[in-house]
Amino acid sequence: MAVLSLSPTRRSDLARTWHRISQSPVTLTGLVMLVLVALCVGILPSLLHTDPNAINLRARLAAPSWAHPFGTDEVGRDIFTRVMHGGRVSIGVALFVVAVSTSVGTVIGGLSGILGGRVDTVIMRLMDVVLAVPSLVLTMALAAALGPSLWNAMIAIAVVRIPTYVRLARGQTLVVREAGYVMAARVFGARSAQILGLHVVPNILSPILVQATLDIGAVILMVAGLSFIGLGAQPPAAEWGAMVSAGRSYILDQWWYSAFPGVAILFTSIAFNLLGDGIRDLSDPRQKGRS
Amino acid sequence: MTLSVPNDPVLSIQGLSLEFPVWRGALHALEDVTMQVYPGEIVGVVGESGCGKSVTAMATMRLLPEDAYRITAGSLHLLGQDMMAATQAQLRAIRGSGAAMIFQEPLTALNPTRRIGDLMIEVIRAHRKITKADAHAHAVDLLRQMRIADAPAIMRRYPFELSGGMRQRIVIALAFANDPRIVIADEPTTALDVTVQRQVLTLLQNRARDVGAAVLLITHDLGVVSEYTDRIYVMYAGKVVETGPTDRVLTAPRHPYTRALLNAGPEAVAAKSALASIPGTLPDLRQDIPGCRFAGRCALAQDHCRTALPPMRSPSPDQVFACWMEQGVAA
Repeated sequence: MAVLSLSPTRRSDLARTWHRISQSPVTLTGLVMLVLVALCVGILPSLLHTDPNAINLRARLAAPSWAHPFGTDEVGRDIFTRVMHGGRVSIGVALFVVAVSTSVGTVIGGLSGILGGRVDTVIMRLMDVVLAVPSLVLTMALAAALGPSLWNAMIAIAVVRIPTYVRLARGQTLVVREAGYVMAARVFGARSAQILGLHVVPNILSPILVQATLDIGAVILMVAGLSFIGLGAQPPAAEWGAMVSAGRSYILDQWWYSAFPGVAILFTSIAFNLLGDGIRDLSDPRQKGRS
Repeated sequence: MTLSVPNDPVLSIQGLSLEFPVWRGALHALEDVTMQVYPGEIVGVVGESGCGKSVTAMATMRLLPEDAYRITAGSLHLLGQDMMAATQAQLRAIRGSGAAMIFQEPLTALNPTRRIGDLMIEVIRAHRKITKADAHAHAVDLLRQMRIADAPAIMRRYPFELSGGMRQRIVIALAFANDPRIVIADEPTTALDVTVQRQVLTLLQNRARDVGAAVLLITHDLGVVSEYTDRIYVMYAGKVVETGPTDRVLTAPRHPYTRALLNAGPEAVAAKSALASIPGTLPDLRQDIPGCRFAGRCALAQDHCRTALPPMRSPSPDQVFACWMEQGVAA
């Protein structure tokens, strides 16, 4: 230990990151689960060339079997195929929503924290107004006002989730703003945009990334919720929430109808949550040096 | 040793008074401060905590929070630019190129998420239109001049992977990245241990001498001042109480505060005896102090010291002190 080698450790960042992930069982589990989800949702449907909307009236509400691993619904559509295809919608929507609300929220929150003063007050009071209304109610109101479609549901969810990120980013910015290196950057003549982009954002990103990853699970639930009450994906589109909703009238006799899309939501949410914790550890550069 | 070169000063503070508005009144942080730094000289600013050293440094670069302070009198010119009237673009042009600053805490002055090299290249390219490769070469060169071995490897490291002394050397290298004419160093070695302090200060001094940059060295350490500066300003409670060539001020102080400060150093007493201290504390800077600000702690204070401002006296052309006693405390 006494001999500190100053020669560069030329292991690439990628190899290092992989090494760190493989050391953490929780992250690894999350990652494996996500890879599984990605394989099933991303690749399997393309390989199998199955149609999620193919109707087979001779096999209506069939129990899980080799032919239909997750059973079939009331018009004989294969639930396994629909869960795979539905995942594309649910996860795609969740990723999009979180990407939008994270980036917009971080920029607004960062600016609010850097500018301070009246701008900060106005922005934060606005966010308080949004946060004061229960998020599901507000999302429903927005989605209903925009008209029931998946696209409108996405916009509604993104808007409602922005304040969380604004508050998080602002709080972090207030801490980072006082850090010596931000002052130093100003002393070295950096522009405000440079200070925000190079010195503030990278240092506030870690909690925001964790929040975003954890949020994906919540957004999947929210999309499912909106679809469940008919404000999201419209039939016959395969979407997890809509499928759970459609299956609820059969839940006592044909449990598989709602259960498998529900399990898919659960599985994916857990995967993102586990990975979220892992990313928090990985994104801290002070930990990169550790084995 | 070079003294007041007949040349335009790189930093000129004229009768600057600065206050921080507080509840019911204001904290008079600086009162009628006048300072000049000429090209190529190393000037020290000494005084105890709260005497206005750092406020002076921050004001020089206009780094104090804009709405938190008021300038009530005087002016401040850095490289000929009126800093109080400068626009953001003018400030950016001066900061980091003509004038650079080194902070007290090397541990926090470097962004933990950026590699040393990326940071240096950014600073270099903020003021020069050169390619990344050229900036990289220049950065390596700067690190070598700070006696950093294996500079290309250091460029790839993150700040947390380096020791405090190494980080401060990098900060100094950054300060010299764009050939500044003045470097303001606010307690640059306070956070470092004593042996590293000397290395870092010697490097700073040599570098400044090599490129002919002036240094405003702010410190509370008289040892540092005596070793590394040409001239000093002694500050007390927001005022400059004495100034002159370092060796003269330190060997023949005229102001009672300077003498008290010198006596308070560990060098002044025999081993194992109690250290001398200056009785009392700094006056409340929210109050208007009509007389000498040191009067409350001065053993030689007379009645008129408390009621009227002491005159500036100049026993020799380059030494000035503010005291009612004609010869000050000179023996």
